[in-house]
Amino acid sequence: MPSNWVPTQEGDSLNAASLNTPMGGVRDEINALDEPSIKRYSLNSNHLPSQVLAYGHKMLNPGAVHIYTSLLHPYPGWNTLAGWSTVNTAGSVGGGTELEAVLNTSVDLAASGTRGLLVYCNIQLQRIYDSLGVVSAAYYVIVALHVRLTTAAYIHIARTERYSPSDSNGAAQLTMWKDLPIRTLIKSTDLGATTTVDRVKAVVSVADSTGAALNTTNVELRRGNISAIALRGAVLT
Amino acid sequence: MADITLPTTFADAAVLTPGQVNNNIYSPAATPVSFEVINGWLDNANRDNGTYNISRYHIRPRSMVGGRQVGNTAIIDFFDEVFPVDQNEPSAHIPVHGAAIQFFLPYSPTVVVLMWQVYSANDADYNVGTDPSEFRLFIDSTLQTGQMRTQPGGRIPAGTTRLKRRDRVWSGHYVRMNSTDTSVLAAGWHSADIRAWSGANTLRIRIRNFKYWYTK
Repeated sequence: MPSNWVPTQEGDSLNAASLNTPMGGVRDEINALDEPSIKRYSLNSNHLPSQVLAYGHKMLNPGAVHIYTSLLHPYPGWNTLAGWSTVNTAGSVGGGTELEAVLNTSVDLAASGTRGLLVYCNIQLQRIYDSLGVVSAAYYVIVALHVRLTTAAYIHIARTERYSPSDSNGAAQLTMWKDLPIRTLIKSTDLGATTTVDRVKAVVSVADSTGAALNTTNVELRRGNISAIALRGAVLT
Repeated sequence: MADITLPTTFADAAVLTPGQVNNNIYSPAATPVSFEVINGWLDNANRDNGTYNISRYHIRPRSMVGGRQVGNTAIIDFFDEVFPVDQNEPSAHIPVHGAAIQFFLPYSPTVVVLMWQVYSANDADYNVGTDPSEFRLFIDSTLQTGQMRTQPGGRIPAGTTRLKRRDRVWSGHYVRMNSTDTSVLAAGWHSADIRAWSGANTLRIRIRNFKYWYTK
């Protein structure tokens, strides 16, 4: 709505409205710019809200390994929530600093304009061996991501399951130093009735597919970092 | 928000001061309420809500997000002569060609994401138990805590056979955002790179890519 500024003329009486009316007209015009006022490509980062709706990051850089065992955390099977250990600096016994990104604010992934929760995760694998110090190509580590709802319940994201076998060349407990990366976009369709999330964490389990189950398989993890970014993905309405 | 509210509403019979008039037209503030809003303070609050949507045609390209990728198709061999014996010496790590980038941030973004894929192998004996080669991430020539990976030995002892399953890939990522263990990057020029150190005779590297993206 264009503003029509009418100058005060000679002979007009000067009162409050002489200033309030024209200034208010300009104010109302600038406060509610219509589409023709927005020139093509004229908006930039100063005019628009952040693309990031929520974010969180966590890094583990412990001085020692954290060990997970097939005794305490055997692989629970594909797309199973229970049975995993959170990656943490104390290993299978738990209680250490967890590899969990806490969002600065919870975000509803089903909300209009929310594209999803983009998650990057890297975990460093140091060694896999059994309680006799033997390695086998049948020993595995499996990692995955769990996202937490605001109800405090976690959801297992099955497509994020990644595995690595042990380094089976010889009996020595060789350092493997493998990097296990996970990348995913968590969407509301991954969740249930509750679609508001506030955390995402890395979990780990151990598999011994020898079938013998005679010895405990140990997995040593070391460094890790996880980042979660909730992105806006719709036109600004 | 940046909506104009005007500091003064004039009343009949009150004494008019120049300052009141001037402040309505221009009075700088952290959150301006005068016509000073038009000096770069216009934002979504100034949109005529509900009558139209902001589409990509309204937005200056690359003003909300930015990013770039570099890489290297060549195999790069590093020999131990170029490194000091102790990897903890200052400047012991050498930037890897193709895994180094410089970038400009027009503002301090909410998030800067760095990603890379570094393939490596070396000719150190695989079963010696030492860790002969390593990679670290630097931003603005500062080592980033926790961003280190090791290339273990990958050769059968007393031979020339390479154990390909001892080759390693670091598909890494790192973010700079406001959190307990990292922080946002300021506006301006920055650099980021993967640097190598090795005590093996040969450290062979292939860089698939090194990239960054940021968003407001």
